[in-house]
Amino acid sequence: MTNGGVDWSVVFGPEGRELLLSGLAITLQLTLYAVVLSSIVGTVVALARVSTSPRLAPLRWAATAYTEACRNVPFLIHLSLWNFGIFSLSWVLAVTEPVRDLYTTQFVAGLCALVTYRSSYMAEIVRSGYQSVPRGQLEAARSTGLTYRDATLRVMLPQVVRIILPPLGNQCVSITKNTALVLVIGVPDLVYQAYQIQSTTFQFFAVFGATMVIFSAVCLTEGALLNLLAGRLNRRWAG
Amino acid sequence: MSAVWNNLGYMLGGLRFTLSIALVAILGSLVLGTLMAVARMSHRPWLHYPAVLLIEAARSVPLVLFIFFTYFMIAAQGYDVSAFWSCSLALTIYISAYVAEIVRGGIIGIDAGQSEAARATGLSNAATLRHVVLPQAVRRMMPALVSQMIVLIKDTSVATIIGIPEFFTRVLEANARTLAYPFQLLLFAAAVYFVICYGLSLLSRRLELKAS
Repeated sequence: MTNGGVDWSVVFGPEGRELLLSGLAITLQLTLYAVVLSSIVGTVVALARVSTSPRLAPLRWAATAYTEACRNVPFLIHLSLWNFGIFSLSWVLAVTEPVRDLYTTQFVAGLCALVTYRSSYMAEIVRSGYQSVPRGQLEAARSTGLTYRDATLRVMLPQVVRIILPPLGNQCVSITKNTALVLVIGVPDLVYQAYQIQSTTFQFFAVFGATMVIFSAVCLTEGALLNLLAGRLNRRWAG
Repeated sequence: MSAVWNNLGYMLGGLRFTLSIALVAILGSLVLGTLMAVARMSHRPWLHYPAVLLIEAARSVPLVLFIFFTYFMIAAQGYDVSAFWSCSLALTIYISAYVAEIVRGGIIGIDAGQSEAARATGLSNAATLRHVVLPQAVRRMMPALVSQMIVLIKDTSVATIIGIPEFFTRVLEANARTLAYPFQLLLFAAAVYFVICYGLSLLSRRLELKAS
């Protein structure tokens, strides 16, 4: 190979391809789990924050503290705290034994960090979506005789989901990009594998170039899927 | 607390790098981001399409990868650029893409009649943008810009992967040296970032209240 030439075979050759694909599988798994879990945690935190009952005040404060604390601290600190801190406690290791049999400890730590970091953003999105639906909607639904549960599920929720879908799409993309940092604790994700190939072949342009294209493709696909879903829901609930 | 206390000077010394990178990237991305936004809104295809490509590409690629790429790319060209500057450059371009979208949103939000009126009084396109549209847009963009800057300050911690001795790198080093106190050291680091970032967000909320 000539000096300075770009050798794409390190990416498309059988070895490189296998490494990158195995990394991509880890990245996609992490993204999927993190999106689902942080949506759930974020929704719970958001509902705690918008609660109005005076008895629930401590819950409201806790939810606010959680959101602000998690949002204003870098993801790398979440990652290190889970990996070097929480997952070094013996009782945590004992409790999480079954999960760690399926996935590595680092993978689980990375997932936990993604969930604590991103759920605080999710909580803010859900909260602002909920608060932007006029209260009259809930009251009107109740006055037509719907129960509280039905009014929330059939009147409020569809409107909230429709409002928060676009920012939710952005969150999915952000989560995908955040997963790239788990290489710091040694989870063999896409960027980790790219770095490994780079450090043995020195073909940084081909390797990182290809990895960037893969990431862009994943992120743009996520955006397109979310748009498609938003369009579907809009048509379905428009009538 | 002794672990934190013994390493306090060393760790806080790293803030010098953290804040320098942040400052370079903030100033750089405000300028570059505005230029990219204007280019994207231009009707000239040779300005519009490259800007769209750059903005969308930077927004769908992880920062780590971008920092790695810039770092190795500069080194391979034979330039002698320190890790500090290559990281600052990568972060500047990366954040510019987000700033560009904020600026574009701000400009679109200004009523078209404003620029039409300015153009009708004889101002050039550039003068209209500078004296009429941007001053109005800036006030609307402030909250989004500040939260982007908070993201940027948090993102400077990624500089640790190319070995810049900034705050977080030094915390990790202190952690590796002592090994026994991960919670003390990392929670201390979390507190430092929290004070900076939350302080900024409180400040921006205050400014918003004053402005309105």
